[in-house]
Amino acid sequence: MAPDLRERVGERRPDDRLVEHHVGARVARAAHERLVVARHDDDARPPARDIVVRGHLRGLPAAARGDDVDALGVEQQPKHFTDVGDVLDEEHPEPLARRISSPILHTLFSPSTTGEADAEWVRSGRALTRPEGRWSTGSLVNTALKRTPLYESHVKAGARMVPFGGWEMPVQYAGIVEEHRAVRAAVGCFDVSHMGEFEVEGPQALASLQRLTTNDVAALEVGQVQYSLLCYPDGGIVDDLTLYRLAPERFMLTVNASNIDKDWSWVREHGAAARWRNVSDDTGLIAAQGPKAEALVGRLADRDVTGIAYYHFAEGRVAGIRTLISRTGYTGEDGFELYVAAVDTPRLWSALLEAGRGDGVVPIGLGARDTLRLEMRYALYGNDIDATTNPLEAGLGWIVKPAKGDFVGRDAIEKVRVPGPRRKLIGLEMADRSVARHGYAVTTPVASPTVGREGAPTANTIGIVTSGSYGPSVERSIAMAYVASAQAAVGTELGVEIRGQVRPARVVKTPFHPSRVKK
Amino acid sequence: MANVPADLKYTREHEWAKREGDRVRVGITAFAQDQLGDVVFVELPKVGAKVTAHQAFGVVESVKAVSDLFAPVSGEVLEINAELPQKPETVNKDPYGKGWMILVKPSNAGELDQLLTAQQYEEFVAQGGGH
Repeated sequence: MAPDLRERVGERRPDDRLVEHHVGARVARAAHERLVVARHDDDARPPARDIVVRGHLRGLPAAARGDDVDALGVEQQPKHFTDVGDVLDEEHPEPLARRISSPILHTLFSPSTTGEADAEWVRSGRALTRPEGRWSTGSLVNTALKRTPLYESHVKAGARMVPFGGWEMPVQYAGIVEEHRAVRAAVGCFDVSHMGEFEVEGPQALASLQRLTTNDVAALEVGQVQYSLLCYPDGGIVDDLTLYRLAPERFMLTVNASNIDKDWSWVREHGAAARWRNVSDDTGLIAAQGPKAEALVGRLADRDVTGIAYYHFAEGRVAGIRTLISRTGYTGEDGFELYVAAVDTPRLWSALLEAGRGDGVVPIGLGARDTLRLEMRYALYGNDIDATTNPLEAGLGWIVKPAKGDFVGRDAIEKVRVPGPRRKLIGLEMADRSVARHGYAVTTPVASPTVGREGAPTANTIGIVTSGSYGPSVERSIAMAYVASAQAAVGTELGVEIRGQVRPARVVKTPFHPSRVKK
Repeated sequence: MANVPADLKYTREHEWAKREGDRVRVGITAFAQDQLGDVVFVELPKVGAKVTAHQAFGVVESVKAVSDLFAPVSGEVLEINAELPQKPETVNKDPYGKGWMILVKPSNAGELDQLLTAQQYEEFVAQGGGH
């Protein structure tokens, strides 16, 4: 029996307030879908980096698909997401949406090619840019997707390619769970060339970065890497990034792919005194992650890599290719992120996969990248943090250093620090295997979730899920969520409303899986 | 092309239906499980529930996707696969066997005949459903 009518859904407010909504809820699906739609309609959001979507096993509506109803008379259903994932190939130059009516294909990945991605297209092309006029989403979104230098390798390896933040990226090769486990047990290689890199130099570089970023750049030594944030004056997050001190007056910032253009405008506007260079298009980036990553990279490097400490980097040659070898990653495993010239990226990729064969190396898609980072509770921009979230509620207070002097967003963030944030990003574990996904309401617990007697409120909304999945290493359904601070303590029993039912969840310690980075 | 057993009937939503005497067993196709990827959760109706042809009777979740399950025929649920909540990966491993979902007593036997044959389903997938 379904619980009764749900009046409103929980929403995240830009002012960081959580509004308590009555969730008495009869519905389910309609309300649920409204959530999903709301998310995709939210212009304030950057292109989604979230690759989870709800769909049917049905096709696009014929009109939206730009296609005739097919010969078998497929019954068309409205559809609230707009992407399809597929690989373009030379034999099928026609718009993809004409070829694909498989509903499941549509279910896999969410729209990531929105207006901002269009803007990315404005950046002058390199070889990576897909020829104009070939769309991945047919009549729905005419957005050219960019490709990394490894696009051909992915296709050859049989990867499932999907649009992601304006890029055509591999979401999986062998399968998300298998790839995830390979990284935890051995080593995996990730193409993260879509990420953006900016260089900044000159006598004003340090001062500009101190003003732009929340962490203390003066404390960063040459050869060291720092996790940091760009914030808006109101404390909302422009992006999270890693900052490299290449030389006393020269730095590199690595930013999220979907934010490259936004960030580029932002840093030049607010750090105008320094000399900036957007080297995103010239830079390839491969992550080698897992307990065997050190041995693998070490075998190919012309220098010792064991001495490179966590969040440090060194320059050297890997497989004969000039590489910035950075002991960083997004998986919770030991490993490296290898920056090379775009043109050299395929050679390094092949060399790693070849040399790592005995280690069990496999290529890893974005799907496993997401489950790996989720188990570590690492924030994903666009999911867990964005312009409406404050660093303190996101648990990122440790990279905000007010004592260093003024920076964009400092006053707003510090105003929150003393009273403490009203909501907090916490880890949730589901009691059963149902998956709490981005946008689902977090509620107070209910003893009997499916029984909604008339007039008896079943639960109150006290938060919202930002990321959630089955965690292949923890072997449970886990999630990250913002909840009211009063309910954020480890051990608190809560619920997550999934398709109209409140299912039991509990606040747990994070990371969900123990970190094995080299400290 | 994924495995499409000749003795089953199919929906355009990628469920299969197998006549077993006066009952119909239902699951999702090999193509469906492959496209979904690792199945991590299956939500099924209760025994005794009524399902309606072309309407959702449950949900299957993979790591990255949530999809409704559509009933190939109308009728009453006689059995559900009680193993799936604990072992959802069975859907990937054996979609036409141990990964079955519900057993239905159809209320309108004619509905089964309106489903796609294996050949029609293969064509359907080859035309638009696959890549």
